[in-house]
Amino acid sequence: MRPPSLQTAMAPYLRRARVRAMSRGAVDGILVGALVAGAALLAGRLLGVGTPVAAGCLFVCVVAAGVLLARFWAPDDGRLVAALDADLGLKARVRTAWESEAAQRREPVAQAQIRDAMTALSAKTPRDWAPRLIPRRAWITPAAVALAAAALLAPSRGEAGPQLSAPQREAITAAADALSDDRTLSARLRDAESVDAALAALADYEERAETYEQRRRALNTVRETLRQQPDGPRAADALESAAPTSYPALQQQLRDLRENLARNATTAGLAHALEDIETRAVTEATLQAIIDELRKIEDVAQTAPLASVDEIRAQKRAVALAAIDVDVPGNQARTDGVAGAETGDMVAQGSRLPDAVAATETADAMLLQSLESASMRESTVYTTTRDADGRESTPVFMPFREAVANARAEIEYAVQNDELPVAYRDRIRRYFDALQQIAEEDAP
Amino acid sequence: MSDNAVEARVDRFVDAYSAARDEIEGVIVGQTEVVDGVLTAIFAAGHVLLEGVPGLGKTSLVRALADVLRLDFKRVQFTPDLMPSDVTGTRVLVESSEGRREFQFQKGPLFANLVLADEINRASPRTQSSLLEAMQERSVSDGVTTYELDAPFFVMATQNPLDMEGTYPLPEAQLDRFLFKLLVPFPSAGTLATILERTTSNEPPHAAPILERDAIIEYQRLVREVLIASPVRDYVIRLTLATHPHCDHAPESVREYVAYGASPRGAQALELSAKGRALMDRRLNVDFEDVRAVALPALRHRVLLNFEGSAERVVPDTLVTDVLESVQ
Repeated sequence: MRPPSLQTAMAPYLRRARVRAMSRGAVDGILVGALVAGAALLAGRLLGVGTPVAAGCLFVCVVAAGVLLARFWAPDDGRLVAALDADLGLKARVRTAWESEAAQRREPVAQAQIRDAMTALSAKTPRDWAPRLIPRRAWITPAAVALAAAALLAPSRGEAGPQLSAPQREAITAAADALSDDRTLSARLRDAESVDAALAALADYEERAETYEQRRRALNTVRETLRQQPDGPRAADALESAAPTSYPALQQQLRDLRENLARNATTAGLAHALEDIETRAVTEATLQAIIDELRKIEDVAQTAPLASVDEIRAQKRAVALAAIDVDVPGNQARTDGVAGAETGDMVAQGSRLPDAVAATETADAMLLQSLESASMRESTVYTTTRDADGRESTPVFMPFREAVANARAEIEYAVQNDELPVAYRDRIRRYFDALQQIAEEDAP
Repeated sequence: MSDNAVEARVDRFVDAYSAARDEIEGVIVGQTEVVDGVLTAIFAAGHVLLEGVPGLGKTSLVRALADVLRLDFKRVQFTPDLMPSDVTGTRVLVESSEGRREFQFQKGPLFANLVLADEINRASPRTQSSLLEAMQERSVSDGVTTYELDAPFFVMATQNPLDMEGTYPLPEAQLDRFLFKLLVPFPSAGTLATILERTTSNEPPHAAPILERDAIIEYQRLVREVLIASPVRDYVIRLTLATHPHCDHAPESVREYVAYGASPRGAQALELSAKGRALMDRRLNVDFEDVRAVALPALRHRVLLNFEGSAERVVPDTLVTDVLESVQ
């Protein structure tokens, strides 16, 4: 009887090897697919691009691609035989015999080696050769698992911040509609995912509007002081072209300008440029610095925002109030600022809340002013006070430090009597702590 | 030839190898790796350079080998004043029975089957080089006639890594002709006790002859018949190339410290000695593990260090180990 050939003995192993190669392709596909699908899911949850269905489709496609690649790019028999030797510990016997058979070597040593290989192979069974399902690129497994876990555990885009309640969304949408002339602001408001984001957008716009109004007031003051017509030439040009007949007269004119500016409006740059005229004669350099600052003010005043400060503040107030989520008729409000979360006894009197918000805004503006110019700390501010009955006086000029102390006392009262929403307390405290620190630093 | 004739040859080889090793180990204690290396070189028809401090039994090992192999054995003690003709032989003027005077070649100690070149690095480079032709061509020339050396022919050289003053390090061409460079380690305490027990009595151990000349030649032929698969041969080639600093597969240490890597003779040594090792395992094919096992003795003396390597006192074994780790 003719002994079985090496090819016959190897046939079941090679069949198993091809299955193994395809299995590895499938496992590779599953792991790479899990990575790709996990990345897609994660992007969907964090960035809002991609859906679970798309991730699932990607996964299926990558697995199918893995199987197909393994099927059509399967390793040749030589590599499979080498892998068989390595996995079964046959010490290159089968590969050597396979080459001898392929080359049809008939020498006694080659034949003896083939017999040796077959003997070694017969001591094993194809079942000994378990397909290795986990590829050797082992890093991919934990990476895929970690990515899938991250995709499942990551908050979705909508869950990333506190959810907006219907009244909050309504207030923000109303603000966006009211200020829709400015498309950037309107879009920012519509995209806002939290009240804080909306308030921040409004605060930025408010700052811009305030700057504009401040510059416009300063410009009006300049025109009035220099006795110019509103539709006349630019103030800087007029000042530059006017040939001063007498420097003392010019100095007096600029001194008047400085005082009027301090009373009605201020800009840090112009105030700085006018500082020297008290003590020194007006030089060409001083005059040029003043003219340059005037030009800047005029440039800014020409780019007016599309809404007034009052209008912006009204919308800001409406959004801030919506954060309190008033749900009880008769001015009762929950004070946590988060929809649907009861905080028990934190009940504030709704009628006082607009005042508290206004006080916050006043403090905010004062802080901005104080930080804008160190010289302002020594100047006066135009603000209101309250009498013992809580009635608000007409606005008057008072020293900056005194205004801070008044505002702080007022806000402390509001905080102690639970008149402020919880969500605003820390913020207000921080404002006043900062102001107090500035005032203490500046104290003689 | 019957189907099992090759298997019978393999069995005889393995039996002879085991018997020879047992005999040598009866004399030389605790140097199994060195003994295996020497026997592998014998069956691969290669020469061996033994390096170790004095007193470790290098010379005794070669003497025991000569006893076991039952071959014509000559020993040459290399000294600085040794001349090439003292090794190869010289032409002397002799008078024949008819009264004619003629030059006759007087064969030197190289004309033996097993030559022990003791302390080879103590002789001058000129004398060392006199071995070159004999080691590679298995022949000796006296300028007029070339004399073939009897097969088998082995050179077993020893050298001492210490006490380097007055020595002449072997040139690269000479080193390359040794199949293996074996390092003889210092014995452990237990081994030392056995050595003392065996060597301090009235009957010093003696190795019995095991292998005849013809058998050795037959086994050398059988070793060369061992098959090697193409992936294993590729591995031998990749290993050899990786000892060169400009090779893509060379590890970082080789790039940094090696001036020149192993020659093609190094690849031959790897494959041939791996074949011998496979046969000792009763296999007629070479495995990757066989190549890895002989890489150190076959390559360590073929890696030539550059200036940085010499200055940093880099050990060639480290470089070969790096090569083994980097080449898959």
